Amino acid sequence: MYVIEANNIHKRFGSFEVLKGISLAVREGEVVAVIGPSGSGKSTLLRCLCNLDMIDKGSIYIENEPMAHETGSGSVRYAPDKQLRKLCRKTGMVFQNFNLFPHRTVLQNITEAPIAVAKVGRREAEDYALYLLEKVGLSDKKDVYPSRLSGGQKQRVAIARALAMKPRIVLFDEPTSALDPELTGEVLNVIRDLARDNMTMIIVTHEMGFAREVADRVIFMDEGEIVEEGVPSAIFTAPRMKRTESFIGKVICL
Amino acid sequence: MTEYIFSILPSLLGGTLVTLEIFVITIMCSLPLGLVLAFCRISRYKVLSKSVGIYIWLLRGTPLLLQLFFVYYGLPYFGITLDRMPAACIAFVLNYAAYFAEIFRGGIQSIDKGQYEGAKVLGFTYLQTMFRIILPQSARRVLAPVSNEAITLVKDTALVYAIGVGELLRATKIAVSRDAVTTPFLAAAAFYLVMTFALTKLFELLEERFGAYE
Repeated sequence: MYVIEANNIHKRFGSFEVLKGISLAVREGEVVAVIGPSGSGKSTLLRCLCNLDMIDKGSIYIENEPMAHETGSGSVRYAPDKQLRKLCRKTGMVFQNFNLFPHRTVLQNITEAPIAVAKVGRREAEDYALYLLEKVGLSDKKDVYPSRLSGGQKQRVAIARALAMKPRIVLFDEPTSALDPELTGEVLNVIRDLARDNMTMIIVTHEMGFAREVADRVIFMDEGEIVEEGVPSAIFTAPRMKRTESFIGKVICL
Repeated sequence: MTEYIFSILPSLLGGTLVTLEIFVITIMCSLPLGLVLAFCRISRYKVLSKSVGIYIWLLRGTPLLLQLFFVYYGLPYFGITLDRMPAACIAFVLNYAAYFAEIFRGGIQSIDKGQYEGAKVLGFTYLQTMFRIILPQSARRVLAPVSNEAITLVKDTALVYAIGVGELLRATKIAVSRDAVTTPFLAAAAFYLVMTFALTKLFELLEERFGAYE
């Protein structure tokens, strides 16, 4: 069974087609890195997978349950609201810009959704939040507001917040792109730990070294299509497609 | 002099009570009404958002005094006759709700869309997102304009004098006419200043309280 399965998804903004038929299936425990130039549709793909953007064609299944599927007439039917929210809770999302709740402390950021959405008791939610904070190395920050944190710390809180809902898969949308270079390491280390714990993840990233190291599979996207995918060693050292080769050549030079 | 001021104090205080009554009723009713109107204004249902847009245009685009006259003198022609005080409160609530609606709309729309997305991926419903994430942050941003309106309201209450409600200004004017002195005006000014000063302080406290996370 796939944790998440997307079939031939299309997405357009106005007349611009951002995704031109993407198919992707992720197995439990798999770490998939998505790389590609800016504007290639990587982020949109993630946003479609967690229902922040709606697809125009194709289907998305989460643990075999349809989040969106194509009807006979070719239009896309989404699951009813309640079902949709239930399915979306299985996917955690970590944003480039963290999107922490500034009016809540670190601990409250993490417990807010478990308490309000998953209806977990406050005590239980807090205990689990403290465990997660320890995991991301921020136990001492539990009572401060996000404005007092560095970018790297904010992102680690955001990861803990996503994990608090016990998702089946975590999507990372360029988790280190908004960070100062010296702060990316601490965030990547947390993601590395998650990979070690067999968390299923899709990571959109520009950190090629990191992608190569943690991913079981690398997907190269360009102009709304998956150009090539394979194990990291193949993609990075022996790409089959010209476009992949030229992209890898460019980013490795840098 | 002091003796004179003490002699008019009871009637001024009585007037102040009426002023405060209008103030409290208006604030208590127009804030929630304004919030509801703000939600309608940003609703994706065009009819709802447009009608509220027209409402706001009408209520902000005509003098409050005219609206007061309309409710008190005009509505009887439509078979609705109200006492002075209820008429005054209704006019004020309807008018201030329009202003608050626009302030709240601005506050809500000033929140980054990442906050909605962060909440959505965690499974919050629209209402949960509003009440737990968006409104608490908007509250901080709307405090300054709301305090402006609240202070204006204290002084606007003097308008109800025009339909004969015995508030502070009317009590003052009665004393001035009766005793042929201008001292009551100064006393009234002092009363208004005390009220607006208290409000200013209250809002400063609220801003500190709501801004603690910044």
